[in-house]
Amino acid sequence: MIQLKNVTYHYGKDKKKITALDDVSLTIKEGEFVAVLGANGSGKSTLARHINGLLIPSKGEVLVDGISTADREELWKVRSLVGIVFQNPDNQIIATSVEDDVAFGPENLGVEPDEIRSRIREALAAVDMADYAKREPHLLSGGQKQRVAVAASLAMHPKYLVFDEATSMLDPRGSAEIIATIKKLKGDLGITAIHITHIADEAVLADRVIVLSGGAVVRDGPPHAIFSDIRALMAVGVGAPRARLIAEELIRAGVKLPGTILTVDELVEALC
Amino acid sequence: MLNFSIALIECIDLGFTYMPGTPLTSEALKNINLSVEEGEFIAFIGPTGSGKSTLIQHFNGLLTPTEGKAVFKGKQIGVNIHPYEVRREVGLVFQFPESQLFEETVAEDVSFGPRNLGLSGEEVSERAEEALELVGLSYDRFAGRSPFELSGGEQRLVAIAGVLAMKPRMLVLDEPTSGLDARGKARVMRCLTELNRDGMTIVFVSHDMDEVAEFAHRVVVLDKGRIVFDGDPGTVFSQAGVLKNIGLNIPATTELLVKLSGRGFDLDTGAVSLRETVNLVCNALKGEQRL
Ligand SMILES: Nc1ncnc2c1ncn2[C@@H]1O[C@H](COP(=O)(O)OP(=O)(O)OP(=O)(O)O)[C@@H](O)[C@H]1O
Ligand SMILES: Nc1ncnc2c1ncn2[C@@H]1O[C@H](COP(=O)(O)OP(=O)(O)OP(=O)(O)O)[C@@H](O)[C@H]1O
Ligand SMILES: [Mg+2]
Ligand SMILES: [Mg+2]
Repeated sequence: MIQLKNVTYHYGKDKKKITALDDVSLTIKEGEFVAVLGANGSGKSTLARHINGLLIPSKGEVLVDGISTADREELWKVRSLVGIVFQNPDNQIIATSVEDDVAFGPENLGVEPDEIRSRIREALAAVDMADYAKREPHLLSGGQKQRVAVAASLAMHPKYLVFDEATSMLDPRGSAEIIATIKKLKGDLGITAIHITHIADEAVLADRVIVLSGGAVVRDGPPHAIFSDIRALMAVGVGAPRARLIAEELIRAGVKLPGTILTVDELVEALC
Repeated sequence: MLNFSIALIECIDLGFTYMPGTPLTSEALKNINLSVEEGEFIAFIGPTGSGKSTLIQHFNGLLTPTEGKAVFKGKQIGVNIHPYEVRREVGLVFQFPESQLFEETVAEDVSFGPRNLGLSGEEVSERAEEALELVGLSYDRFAGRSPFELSGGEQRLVAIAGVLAMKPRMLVLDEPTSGLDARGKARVMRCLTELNRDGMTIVFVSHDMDEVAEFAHRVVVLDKGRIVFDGDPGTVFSQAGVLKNIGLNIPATTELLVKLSGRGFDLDTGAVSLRETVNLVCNALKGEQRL
């Protein structure tokens, strides 16, 4: 379980102080697939960096399986429980070959060499990068770097996965595969996933959607409830699923449709 | 054939291999023939690693072809015209905006391009302010901040503003809206549309099929370093099978029309924009006296 208790975080101080998280309280249970939405600058990455203890709250606390991220002695434990993919994969590349990059996390956790090799294979296969094992991660395309970063997090076999816009530069199949991988890990191993995204159509696939605005949680609930009021979402800079935008335009043109449509298939059914 | 109008950019049998002759060699582009005319609005789409970023970096001479040539207004880049000259007219926004930011403050960063064009100090700051407001970053709030202490989306907006401030003849943007929130996306795409209407040539890379369908006038599809389609959005997105095979998709609008047509609706499935789609569906419903 991940618990945030009245977490406030400021970057900088005095006149330059920016409050990026403002009294956030949240509980994320084991096995949940949570999507986090919010405008640019709303605090999503700051939230992600709190979950693995990269940032420590200015006020309040973050507990991962009961361990406070402020407890420096136990930080290694938190890091072994939480696998994170950062927004910019360039900041995450550590090694000079893709396979060493993926091996880095498990090596640090003291995993046996044989086991590491099988994890590399498995993780690179999951992101469709098996053919690139010997390549230099710096010399890959944007989407390939992002895939390697995802593989590196998967290879740690973390209990909690935090993806900070890990699909933002993937092609449509790549994004769909990442979501499918999350669902599979959740089903098979009970892994918890926190997926930060600007793509409403991806959030629709989660169990729960959290919306941040100005560093505070403004909505929290299942996708259908969250997307029932798209005007409220738009007011905080969050978009609606594509099918819903089409449905809204059709309603405006006089077509009678329920206000709950989230997918093209639901829209087709409603029109037929 | 006689060609009276000279294309802005022409790629002729262009090929590009990274680090040729080394064990790390990789062939990113093969036999690209393409021309970009003044005033076009083109989207480049393609699966991960298909060569999009590599190709568009040839448009301003950042990369030099290892085979064939890239030509700017009739002059071969690197032979008859210096890449530096091309860069004054072709602005490029990188896939990773961080790699483009380097000044101490946002205002300085956005001013760098126009200053390099030799504009007066007054005009430089005017342009910087205007460009920041265009992308939706309040000058008062952001001008004095460090570009490295911003959120990911804010950094991308600064990078876009920096290139807009140069008012180039042609704008090349590598995944300009990835990482932007819905409002920022809409604002940037609207801004590009307006610039294009005023004559600027726009080329962008995107993984968002709906965005491509809504805004581009021409779509070029790359796969494994080659061009597989080059046409108007309606024609390209009618190729659902091939697109899905290479890892792409079709926009939600086209998907809706195809699925409705499969369920017996009498409608043309070639539309791609939101407005056209809504009109088609409404007309079909009227045809069945359901509207
Ligand atoms: N290193 C930093 N120093 C100072 N302020 C920062 C820093 N990083 C982020 N901020 C500010 O903190 C706020 C929250 O930023 P954060 O990166 O968490 O946003 P985000 O929701 O992830 O946005 P995006 O969608 O653009 O990635 C923003 O106002 C941002 O400008
Ligand atoms: N600096 C580099 N050195 C060597 N190979 C590279 C380099 N950059 C890219 N490549 C390779 O060239 C090919 C094309 O890469 P490119 O970045 O053009 O793809 P892309 O279509 O932009 O992909 P993405 O959608 O992932 O950004 C890929 O196979 C990639 O691994
Ligand atoms: Mg972020
Ligand atoms: Mg690219």
